[in-house]
Amino acid sequence: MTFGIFLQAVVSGLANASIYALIAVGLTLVFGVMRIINFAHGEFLMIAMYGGFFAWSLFGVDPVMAILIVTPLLALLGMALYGGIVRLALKVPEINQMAVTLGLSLLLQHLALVLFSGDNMLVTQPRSTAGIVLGPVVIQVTHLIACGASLLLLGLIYLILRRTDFGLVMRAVAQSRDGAALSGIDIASVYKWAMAVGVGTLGVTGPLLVSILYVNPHVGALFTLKAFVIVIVGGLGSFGGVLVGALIVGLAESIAGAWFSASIAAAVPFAILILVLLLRPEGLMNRSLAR
Amino acid sequence: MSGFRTVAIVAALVVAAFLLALSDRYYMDVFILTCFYGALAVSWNMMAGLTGLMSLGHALFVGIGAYSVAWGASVQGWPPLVTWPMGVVIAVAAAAVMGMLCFRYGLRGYFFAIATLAFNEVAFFSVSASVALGRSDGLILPTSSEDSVMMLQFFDKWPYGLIIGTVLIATLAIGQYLLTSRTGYYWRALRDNEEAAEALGVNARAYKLRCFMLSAGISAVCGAFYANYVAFVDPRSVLGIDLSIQMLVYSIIGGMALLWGPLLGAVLLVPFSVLLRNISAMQGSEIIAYAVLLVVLALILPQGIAGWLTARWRRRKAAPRPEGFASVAAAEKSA
Repeated sequence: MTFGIFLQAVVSGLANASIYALIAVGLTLVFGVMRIINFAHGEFLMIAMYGGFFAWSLFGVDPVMAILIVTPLLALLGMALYGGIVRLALKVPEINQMAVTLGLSLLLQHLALVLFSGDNMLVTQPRSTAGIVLGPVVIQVTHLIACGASLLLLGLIYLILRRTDFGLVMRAVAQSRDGAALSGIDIASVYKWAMAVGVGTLGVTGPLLVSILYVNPHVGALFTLKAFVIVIVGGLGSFGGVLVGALIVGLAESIAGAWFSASIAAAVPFAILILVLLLRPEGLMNRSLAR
Repeated sequence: MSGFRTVAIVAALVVAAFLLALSDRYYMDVFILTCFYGALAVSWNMMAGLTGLMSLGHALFVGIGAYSVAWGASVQGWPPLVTWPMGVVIAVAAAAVMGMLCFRYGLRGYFFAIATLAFNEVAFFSVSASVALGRSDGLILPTSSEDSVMMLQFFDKWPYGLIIGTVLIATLAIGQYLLTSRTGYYWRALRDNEEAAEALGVNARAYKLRCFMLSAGISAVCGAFYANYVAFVDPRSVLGIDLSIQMLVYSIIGGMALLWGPLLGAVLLVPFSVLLRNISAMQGSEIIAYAVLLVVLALILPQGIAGWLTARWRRRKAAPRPEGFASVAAAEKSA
């Protein structure tokens, strides 16, 4: 592997990492606030990707503009998910919670298969093939847009969590549900909004991702698993942890892909997870969204 | 001893189903699939329902069993007499290593589930990249035109039904034996409250490890059977996460508190999904149906169909005797 290829792998890895981080932050937000892991997280990303695709193929809407339509829709879907299913799931044992979101993931995948068929679809525009050449490295314009938007939104979410009353209330619930309830915080409404934000962020990622990666009904499962690895590597429920985890996973995957085969690259995130289990298990239990 | 009576009734029903299925190859195939998924779900539930360890990577052990047989037969020409025990030993060893890593750090609930999933995924992608194991194309077992008991190769389906039916009954018998032994009580104590059990002197790590290894061994036997029955293995069919999720689906729908609950789930769902696949032109309609069932039942019937049935049955039995309420409440709590 030449230095040029290595550099290219690092740049692609960084671009992927920013997208992964935005996907994982929704998962970790929902876990931090509600202590529930949403196995259907990736399926909502898949829905957002189809949203972006159909906005482009049926109405000719640019994926960047489609964000403005898809994001509110996904946020509404998140609220509906809370009201219809998660609200009830909070009352059953953990194993059942897992079964509920796994069942939902299966359901959405196969409904998508019926509605949209199993074909791969991709948004192709004049800028899809455009790239910026920086010495030995080429940066795809579509990657650059997705990366920039992810970083922007991550910054926005960070500011909301840190600087607004809404963020304060979310952190309070994450820290102590009962304490927050005793202080007069409406827990149900916080849960609803956490779900809306957690799923809504995918409304930004989806349309941008569909210009980079083919969408098919099973694309979500891959991202759910990667998002798990990222949030656990970084510490579940921790905002900074998501960034660290996404960087590690994105870079390692991309470098392994350049070095070895694609199958090995796909196994890398999980190998990292096992390594973290071995070497830094306390990172696993680190729940610092509240702090 | 009522538990043993239940197992005897279930075993008799399995034998009856086998005899009925002898009439037709198609029925025998459904019987075999039901027993296969039933035994897998029961072994999965020994961990999840009886010990409180939820694994999402059980396909790994099925894959180890299946690949041991497939690799042994197609590359080395070894008979099942060698490859079945080999698969079980490797699976039990893998479970021991995974268990030691996970339990050393006290991983529980979601964390244990995702850790097992990670091990499974590493195996999935490694096998998909391994030339010796046929990459993603899988391995085809060598077949000859004649039946061979040594190679577990039969033209008729009934010998396969006999084998997997025996595996299923043996799994239930082992499970029931352990449940009424000290080990089984320790397992349930660990499930209900690990700290309290440890405070009373239960060696949590050792007993959880024992459960994990037993469950992995049974899953490997099922995997080895699968390889001989289908004569083809690939990563998607024996190492995919779908297989692990299926074990969970049958257990949740059937009922996790009882040994035979997951079997009930498989008995209801496997023939149902085979039927639906045959009559419905819609691709994946059987998965949509059981995904809906899974979501709804996990929410409104957390104890599963078997749990609901036995609770009803107990209530009816206890109804004429008002003084029996206390004992029923105690029995329900212990179940």
